[in-house]
Amino acid sequence: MFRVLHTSDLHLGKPFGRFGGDLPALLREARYQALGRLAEAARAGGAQAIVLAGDTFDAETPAPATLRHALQAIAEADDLSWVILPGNHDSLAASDLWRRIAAERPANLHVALDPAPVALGGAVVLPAPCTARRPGRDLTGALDAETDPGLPRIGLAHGAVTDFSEEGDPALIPPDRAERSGLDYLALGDWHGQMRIGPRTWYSGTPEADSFKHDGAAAALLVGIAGPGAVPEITPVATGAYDWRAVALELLPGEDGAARLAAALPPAGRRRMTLLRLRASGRLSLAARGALEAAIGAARDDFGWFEADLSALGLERAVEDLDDIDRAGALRRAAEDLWDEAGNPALSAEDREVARAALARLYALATEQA
Amino acid sequence: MKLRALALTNVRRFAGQTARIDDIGDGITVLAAPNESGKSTFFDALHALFFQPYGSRAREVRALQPHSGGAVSVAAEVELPQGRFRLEKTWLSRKSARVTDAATGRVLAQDDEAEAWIGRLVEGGLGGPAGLLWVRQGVTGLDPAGQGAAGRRDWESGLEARRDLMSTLAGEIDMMTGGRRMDQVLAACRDELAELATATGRPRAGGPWKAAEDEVAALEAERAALAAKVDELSGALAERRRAEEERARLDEPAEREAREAALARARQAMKAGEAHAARLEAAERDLKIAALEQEAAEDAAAALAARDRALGEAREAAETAAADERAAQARFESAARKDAATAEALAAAEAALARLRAEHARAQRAALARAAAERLAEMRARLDKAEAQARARAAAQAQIAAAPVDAAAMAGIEAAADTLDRARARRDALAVTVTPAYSGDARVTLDGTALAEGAALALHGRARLDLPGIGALVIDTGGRGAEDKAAAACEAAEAALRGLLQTAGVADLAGARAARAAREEAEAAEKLAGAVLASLAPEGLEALRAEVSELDLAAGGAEQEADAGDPAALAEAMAQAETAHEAARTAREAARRALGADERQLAEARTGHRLAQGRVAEAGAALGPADAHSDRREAAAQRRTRAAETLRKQTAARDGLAAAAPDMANLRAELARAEGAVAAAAARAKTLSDKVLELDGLIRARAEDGVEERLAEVSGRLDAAHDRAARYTREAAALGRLETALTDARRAARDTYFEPVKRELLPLLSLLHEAADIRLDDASLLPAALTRNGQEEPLDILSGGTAEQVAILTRLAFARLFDRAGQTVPVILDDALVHTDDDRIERMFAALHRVAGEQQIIVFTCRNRAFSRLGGSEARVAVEAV
Repeated sequence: MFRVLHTSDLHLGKPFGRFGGDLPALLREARYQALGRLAEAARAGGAQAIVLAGDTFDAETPAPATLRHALQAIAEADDLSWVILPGNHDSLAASDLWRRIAAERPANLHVALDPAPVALGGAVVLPAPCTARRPGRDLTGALDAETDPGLPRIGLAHGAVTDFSEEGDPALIPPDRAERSGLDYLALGDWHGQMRIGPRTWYSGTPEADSFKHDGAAAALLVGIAGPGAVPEITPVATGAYDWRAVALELLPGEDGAARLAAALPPAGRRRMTLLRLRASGRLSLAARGALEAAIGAARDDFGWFEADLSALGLERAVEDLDDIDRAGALRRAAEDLWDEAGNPALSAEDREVARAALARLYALATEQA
Repeated sequence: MKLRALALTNVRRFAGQTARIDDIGDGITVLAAPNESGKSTFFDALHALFFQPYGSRAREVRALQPHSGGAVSVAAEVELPQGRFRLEKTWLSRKSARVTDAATGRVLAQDDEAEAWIGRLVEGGLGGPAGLLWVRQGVTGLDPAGQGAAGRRDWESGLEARRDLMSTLAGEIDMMTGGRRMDQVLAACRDELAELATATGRPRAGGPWKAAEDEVAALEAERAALAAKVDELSGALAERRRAEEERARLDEPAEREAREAALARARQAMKAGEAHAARLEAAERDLKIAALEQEAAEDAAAALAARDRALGEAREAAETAAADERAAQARFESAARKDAATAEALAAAEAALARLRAEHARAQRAALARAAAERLAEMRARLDKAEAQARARAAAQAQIAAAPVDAAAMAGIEAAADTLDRARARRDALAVTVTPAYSGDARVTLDGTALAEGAALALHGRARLDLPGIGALVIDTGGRGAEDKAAAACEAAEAALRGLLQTAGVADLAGARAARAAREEAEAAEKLAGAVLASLAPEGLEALRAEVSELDLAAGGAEQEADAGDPAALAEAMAQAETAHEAARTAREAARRALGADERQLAEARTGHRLAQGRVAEAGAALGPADAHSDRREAAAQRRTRAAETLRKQTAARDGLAAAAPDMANLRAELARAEGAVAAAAARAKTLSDKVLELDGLIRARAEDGVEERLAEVSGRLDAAHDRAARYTREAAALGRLETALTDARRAARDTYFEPVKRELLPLLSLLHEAADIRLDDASLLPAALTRNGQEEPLDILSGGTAEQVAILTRLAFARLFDRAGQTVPVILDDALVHTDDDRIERMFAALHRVAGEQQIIVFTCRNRAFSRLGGSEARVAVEAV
């Protein structure tokens, strides 16, 4: 049984500039440490090699330290063979990058700068390196190349298998490429979530999450191939340090937003390593919304990062809310004016939102002053 | 509550007395009294009754005590809805308080209980409804003017009373305006907004909104700079790839060999081309030599023919010149003959002319002599006459000299004679005249002279007349002086006349007149002779004599020229001879000129002939011996033929080579191209290597910067900054909107809240100020500003009079409001309106009357006259001893 660890889209050096504080540095560090975790996972799973299906580096010309640290980590895991495929972020057009790697490459690293098959002891890897950021054609035709019939064939490619444009994209990788080219396994990169395309074709996803786009824990794939023609055994292996979690709360009037939130949040022990994005929708009364905001405020600092977007959360007209502001008098009157404005369809959405925000603010201030 | 009666016992100037005002009615009651008559005493006493506890020793109480001391008592009767009550307090030495039912006289409460009873009546103390209505002298403020803690307490209780009142009328102000919560909410809202935005809604400097926007701007600039660097980097990468590919292509062996082979071929072709060009050049040279030879042969033949032709021409010319010489010789001889003939003719003409000239001169001389002889006779006769006249003139002149009386002397004599006559006449007029008339012969004599008959004789001085026969008669004429003067004048005149006559050489007047006549006659004769002489000899007698002498001489030769011809005919002949001579001379001149010309022509013709002969000799010599001519012509023709053949051959040879010549320009170009290709490939390879090196440097620098990572990072930070700025923008908008909503709502609430006060106050105010409005402060619930003609003025800057009026009207308005709320209180004015002028005071009175219909108003004043127009009932003070 030949075993290999399939991963991709490491995006080393990705800066995460939109986060404040230390977080960008921590996230970058987590990506770097993913190399070590991948090596651990490979050893634990009995794999002899790790194939990286593209986008190992985020930039075409990464900072020298980014590159050097990566090569050091690979060199350190010298009990494993590493195969790096140029992806779209680090395509062959990034000549300086590949030149520097060629100059400093440790012996256990093979860089697939051309489609020549790479022998990995018990298997042959057929790479289809990306020639440019957008090559505009399917490069996996090269995977047809003949190899030693006694060894399993593992394809390594980077790109999309499907898209949603009507004309059809000539750069797409055919979903049945593994079958067409007689591959025992096709290791794909580009998609940051893990995805099975067929019994022999998988996207491993990134080993360290970098966006809220994909659900599920970041992982690599441990691929075991018994011999040529055998269906591979695929085992996901969790490798992520940080959780990127998108939470959507659909709230109805009368619901306890705080309780729903508490249920949706991860346990306290995980929160420090969690980046959470909350999107609330539906409608809540001002009081309930205030309670939800208070709950958010209380939970916020538990997390590595926390973003709450309540802009899609509508306002439920509740008399108690107005009573909380004031039962009569000028405050009540101001509240009612704003309320009417927030629900006035004759006004622009922006004006309505301003009025809604003003009303929420009034509610908060008035209840504080109560 | 209405006040019905008031009694003061032992208060100030009413020491030991009780002063009483009874029967105070509804409406306005005026207590008008001069200063110090107790007016303020009533006010202060009444004030103390309501507001000073009976145990008080406050200054206000002690001020009520008279100098004589003793207990001070004040009592009042008030009418309440429940009935009529008497309130009574005594302070200082006796202390008590009591409330009595006025109808029954029953004591309802005493001391502390009475105080509590009164306290309930005036609830809120000075600040209460009652306190509100007291207006002291000159108070312009709206609040009680107390100081310190008590003053503040009063102020607060007054506010409380107003609040209560207005809450009763319009609702709780806090309920209406949101009160303290509203203030706090608004303040919090404004604080938060001020943190973000300026008053105009722009991001505030130093605030987080501004910081976010600044960060966006800074990051955008940073991103642009990094994007430019990233573009530069990716451009450099692409450039290096292209350069390296090109360099690889240049270095391919096949390419290199192809370039070198092309260069070798081009060089060989060039060498062949150059050899061919050398051959062509030699052929060209031969061709040029053949052409020269042919040209020389042609020239030689042509020269031979030309010399033949020249000899023939020279001979012809020589013959012509000989003929010309002969003709010229003939013409010259003919001209010489003609010249001799004209010379002879001229000599003849000259001789004839000389002869005629001599004859003509002689004839002229003869004619002149004859004319002189004729004239000589005439001139001699005339000379004789002239001489006679000259003699006559000389005679006349002698006569004139002999008669000296000329016209002037005659006139002098005449004048002197006249003078004498007149002198005598004057003398005689003075004399005694005697005229004798004789009868007989006897005559009277005077001094022996007889007097003539009838002739008057003048007598002068003493005269003695002798009367013959009688004796003598002496007559004395008398008048001696005049007689003497006249006689002297006569004598003077006589002497003058005598002198003149003497000078003229005459004896008397008659002689003078005769001499004068003789002289005039002589003068006339002299004049006549002179005139005749002048006509005969106009140039003098001597000239005439000389002329005669000349003529005499000229006429002397007349006889010798007797045979001389007619001078006129001779003159004509002579003129003709002169003409003929001139013609001959002209002809002679022409002949001589013709001869000269012909002589020159002859010389020229001779020279021409000689020259022509010379040229014939030259041409003959040039041609050489005549027997060799044909051989030479033959040789020249053969040479021409040979030369033409050679030329044809050489031309053909040259044309053949030229047609076969390769294009050297092409060969050179091809060689240059091939060489250039090799050189360019080398240079290009060098350039590319340099460029790759340069790009390596740039790429390395950028890579070391990690510009792509930094760009991605800055882009992320920019997105976050954009989000943050947008959040602050929304936040500012929401806070701004909230502030607007709150202030709008509060303004509307206030308007509603103050509506009852304004409804009461504005009609009163309009009595004083047209179109006035009032703004009430919702903290004090009192007027804060007066608006007149659209101009708002805070109350504290108004004039004393206006402030006072507003203060009183506000109290009146509140009094009506209290009344409406079932809490009737009197308005008590203690010398109020001190700042108000007489015009306004009447309008204030009108305002008071307007309120007084339902309101008890008690006015204490010392301005009797001003307040006499207020109307109302007058309070009477009754004073009695205790």
